Amino acid sequence: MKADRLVTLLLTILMCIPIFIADSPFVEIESALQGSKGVDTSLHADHNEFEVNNEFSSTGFTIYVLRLTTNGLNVSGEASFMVSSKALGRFEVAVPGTGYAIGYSFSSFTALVLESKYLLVITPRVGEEMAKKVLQLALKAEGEGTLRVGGVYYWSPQLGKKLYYKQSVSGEILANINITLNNLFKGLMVKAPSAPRVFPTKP
Amino acid sequence: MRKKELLLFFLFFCLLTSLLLIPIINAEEETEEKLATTIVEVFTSAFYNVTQRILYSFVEGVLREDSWIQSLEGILHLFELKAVNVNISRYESTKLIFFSGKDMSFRHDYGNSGLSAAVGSAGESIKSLNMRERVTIDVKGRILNYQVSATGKGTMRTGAIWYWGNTIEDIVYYREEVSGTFSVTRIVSMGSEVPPSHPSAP
Repeated sequence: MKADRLVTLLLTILMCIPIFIADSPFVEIESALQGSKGVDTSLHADHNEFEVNNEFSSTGFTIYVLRLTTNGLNVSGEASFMVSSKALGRFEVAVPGTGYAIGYSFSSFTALVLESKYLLVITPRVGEEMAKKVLQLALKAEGEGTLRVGGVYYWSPQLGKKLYYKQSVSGEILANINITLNNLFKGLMVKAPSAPRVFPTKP
Repeated sequence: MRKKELLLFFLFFCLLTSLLLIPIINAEEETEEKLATTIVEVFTSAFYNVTQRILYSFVEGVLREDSWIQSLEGILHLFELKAVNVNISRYESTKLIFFSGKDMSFRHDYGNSGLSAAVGSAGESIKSLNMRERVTIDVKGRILNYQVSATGKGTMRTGAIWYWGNTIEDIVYYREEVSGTFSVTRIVSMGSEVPPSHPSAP
């Protein structure tokens, strides 16, 4: 009788293995390219636990590096480029249904070098325990154009309790921004971004 | 008592031997693959069109390859190596394309219905192209790996799509286009198994 139960348990475990595997889809996209007449890219990854959007277009000489890695829960990657003419772009990582998002957009009309790295760590819910979420964005930019960076975090179901952050720099810019949103603590910890310096154009 | 012990020992020996033989039998099965090699060489100064459609149906799903290359004028050297392992529902294809001429267009599309995913590349107004493309499709293991390295002149696109959930909204979609004199290295890996993370240098 005990042996039957053991066999049943083992069979149940074996049958469950593919379900666990299926719940962890793996995606890796790595791309490094350069084009003398521009680049046009679009990336959209939508899952129960995250949403990543990245769009970028340029018309002149461009070097572009894009990376996205996810196991279905955690996401990491980068989007970096160097352009010598007109470029437009947008990037966003969000956790659907939570008001937990971070991103940037830019419009550049001359040279721009931008390096951005992102990370989203999610620990799945266990019982009633709150899922652990860490969302980070590190951004470096140098060039001439307009750069907007923002983040939003509703840390309570009440609409009033939120963090809203938006920053826009224009002209000849040099920016170094790091944002971390997480719910590891009861309160909220946001690493203050370093102040972007805006240099006036030379007469 | 002795007989009982001997019988138990014999049974244990049989079990151990069978356990040891299972990987060997499996390995033998896996090596029984159907290997198909295709080498196509085209040298022309007139219009040409190379079209290919490959479809393999397995219990777990269908793997598909659609590809065409066409040009009004130019020299094309196309080399292909394909291997299909019917036992483990796995397909590997390597393509090398060298082209020089006028307005070449191509499209390579690979699909894995077991994974609900597809990946591919396309080119337009290509004046020159040196391209290496490698794809691995595993219908049973639900894997689709794609690597492409290319340099050339014209416009080249790469895209991938995977419906990874039960709904149409759970999707990963990726598209990239590069124009002018270009140099491209792209890797797309999709599936339940973690593939090797770093490719060889382009």
